[in-house]
Amino acid sequence: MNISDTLLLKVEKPARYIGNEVNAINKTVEDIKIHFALCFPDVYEIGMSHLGLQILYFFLNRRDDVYCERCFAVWNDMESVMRENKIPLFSLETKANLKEFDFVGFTLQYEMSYTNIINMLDLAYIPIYSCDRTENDPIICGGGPCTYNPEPMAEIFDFFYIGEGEAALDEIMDLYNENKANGGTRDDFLEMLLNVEGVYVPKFYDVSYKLDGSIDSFVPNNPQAKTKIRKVIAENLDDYFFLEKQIVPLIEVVHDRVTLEVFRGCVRGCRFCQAGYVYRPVRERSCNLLLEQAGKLLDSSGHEEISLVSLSTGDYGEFKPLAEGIIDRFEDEKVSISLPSLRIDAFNLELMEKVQNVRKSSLTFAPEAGTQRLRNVINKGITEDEILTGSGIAFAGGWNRIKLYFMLGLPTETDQDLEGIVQLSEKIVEKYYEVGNRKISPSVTMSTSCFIPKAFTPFQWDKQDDYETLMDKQRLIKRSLTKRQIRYSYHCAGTSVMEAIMSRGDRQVIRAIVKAWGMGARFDGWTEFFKYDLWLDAFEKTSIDITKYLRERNYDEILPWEHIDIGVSKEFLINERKKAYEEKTTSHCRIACVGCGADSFLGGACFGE
Amino acid sequence: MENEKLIYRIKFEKTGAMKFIGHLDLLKIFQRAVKRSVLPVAYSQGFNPHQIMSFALPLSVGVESIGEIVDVEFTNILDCCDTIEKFNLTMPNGLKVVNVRRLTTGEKNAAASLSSASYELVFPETITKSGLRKAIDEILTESQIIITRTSKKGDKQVDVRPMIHELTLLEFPVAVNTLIDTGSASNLKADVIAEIICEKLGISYTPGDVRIKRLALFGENGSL
Ligand code: SF4
Repeated sequence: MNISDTLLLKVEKPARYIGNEVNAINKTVEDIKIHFALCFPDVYEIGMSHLGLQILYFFLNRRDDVYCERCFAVWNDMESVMRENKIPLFSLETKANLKEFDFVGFTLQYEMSYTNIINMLDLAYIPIYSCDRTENDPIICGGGPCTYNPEPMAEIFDFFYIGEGEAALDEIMDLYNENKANGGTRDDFLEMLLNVEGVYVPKFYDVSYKLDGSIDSFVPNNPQAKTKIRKVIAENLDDYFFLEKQIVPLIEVVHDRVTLEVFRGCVRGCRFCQAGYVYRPVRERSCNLLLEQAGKLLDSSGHEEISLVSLSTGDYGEFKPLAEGIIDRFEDEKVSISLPSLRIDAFNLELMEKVQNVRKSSLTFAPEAGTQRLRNVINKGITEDEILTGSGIAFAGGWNRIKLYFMLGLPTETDQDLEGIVQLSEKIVEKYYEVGNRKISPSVTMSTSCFIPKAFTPFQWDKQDDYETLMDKQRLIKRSLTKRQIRYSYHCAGTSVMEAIMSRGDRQVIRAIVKAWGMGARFDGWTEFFKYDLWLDAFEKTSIDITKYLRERNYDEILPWEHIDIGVSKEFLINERKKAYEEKTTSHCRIACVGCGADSFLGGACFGE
Repeated sequence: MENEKLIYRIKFEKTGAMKFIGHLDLLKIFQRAVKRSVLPVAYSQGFNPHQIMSFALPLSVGVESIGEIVDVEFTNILDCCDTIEKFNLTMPNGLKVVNVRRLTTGEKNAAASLSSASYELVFPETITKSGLRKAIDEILTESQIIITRTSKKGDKQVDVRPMIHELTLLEFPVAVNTLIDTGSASNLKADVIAEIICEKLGISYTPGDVRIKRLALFGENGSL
């Protein structure tokens, strides 16, 4: 397909749709057996900053028989141009219509991108519901964090892939070839997938509901469908595929840098954090391999920045040799290192000063809760003392900007905890005047998001605050604030409520999502696009009671995601929740294993031995 | 020691999909290409060192060019053929280095020496050659052509006729070549010419309908 210059010049950033980047893959289309469209349901600049997309792209393209191309959600100006001119959604590499691909695979990164997924299917002229697709349509599959409760999107996707791509995608590609060679249908293929670990094919399961709307039964309707679908992981990261190149965008994207994935999983066990549970157990890459990979990534990209990522990079066992190794190798090449999610202590501060070319950029703390009591509830192992000492060292070292992240609506939260948020922030300002440079004033950003109970966390049974409650809490904080050096920023309560409904939603929720899309909802993760009233209206019109999804759940209730097995046991989660309510903390995995069950993936202990 | 600096003039093409890339992004693309090809680029001093690189003139988004110029300072003497090859191995499709030469002692940088540029304008197939010829003739006989330029300081009436030096019809396709003022002293953009011609043709001008390509950049002493 060819889009004319005239049309492309009508949109704000035509370069979003041209592909042609350095390191993007070209293949001779005739040699390809499987065409895979890797889709990110957000705008180019966001999707291209996402590490998972880069990994899957190069992982799939390392096979000669597969050509993996990319596709992103088109911005609203482009959508109008495409709809007016009947241009179907196309891939960036060959500009082929998505409908012509064998697979269209979406990464489900956040619930608020669901309307974009539906919109992308519709723009590609692919039926949005799985049951309406025919042999002429691609297989629509999804992976990523939201697939740990995929139920709201169950009727849209042909299958979900639960876990890490490196583990079983090859097997799926091989089965697809086999089925094609045998002249099999798409249903034959989907049935074959029932034997693949980590694959969930929603149509082979039936759900029935009780009168109160909760789930009555969830049962396979195909003899081969497993009752539990266990996630798949790359057990030893050093043995698996290694990213040596990344696509270098032609335009500025959110993160213009190469990304080094240091480890997967997290040892900390913060009780609100879904990633901390679903990505267990922790698996580290070896330092030598990482240094080698860092070199290859930087050399092949020409980037001037490398980011060391993981859920908590400072917890990496060989953090010091890794950071110093990178500094040694690249100091002369004007490469800077970005270290997100690092604890602030003396060593790390010195390190940051050394590696970040934007000197004294702002420092970040995430206490998440305003009092020690509530931090114990959520198992956030950071004390007020650590925060004040850390910021003290930073202020003495010349920093003057600090960002603080908190959550509103956590289980057991009281007004005292909310006031604690303000008090802690004010103490930091006071600290600055004790030790910092008095000639410049400090700037503290105090930011609150809204707690959302997520599947597979100890709080998966807890209630979610409704819109009014969240707004009241934001007002309370604003009222308590007295110091002008503190800037308060907060997340939209409406977005959080909708995200909460979807993240613990069942198959019925899709009716409201499709309705909202039909009413014009797009890019709901963007404040400038999100319309709370439209969403309320969509739920109203589809007669879905949102309070049902915000309520507290019982332990004996069938949760919509219970057919998925992440390796962490339900007993463990229940126990963690009880401890939370008793304000008792749980130590992190490196200190002592608390027996969550995820070591079953490794056939041995996670650490030591 | 100003004249001992190793500044090289890199002439390149920007065509195809690359016409949608704006100037600031192009700068980044060049910086990364230099890093990937491990050329001995010179960095500025100071706290935030950057490659010493200066483009002759930004090209509007949507316009192609076969005569772009960037001056880059290096720390070692380059083999020009080898440098062309190194660049082209790592450039995205549509960016192609065609020539590299070292600036002579005392030679001004491209931006400072620039005075005019030539362009090719290809019109849509609906336009006839005779129509286009008539439009050109009319423009050339005009003693002044007043357009309105909008800037932060408000609208200004400008006579652009003296900025148009050449305007000729091409044999094939339905296209014209033009040489116009370009640079800091006096500057006319090619899409303004396209718009003026469209007006004479009695059609409205939509960016993209007229395909514009910059052919070469000139200084007082000829091609840069
Ligand atoms: S099995 Fe033990 S060490 Fe491994 S992730 Fe679970 S709690 Fe941590």
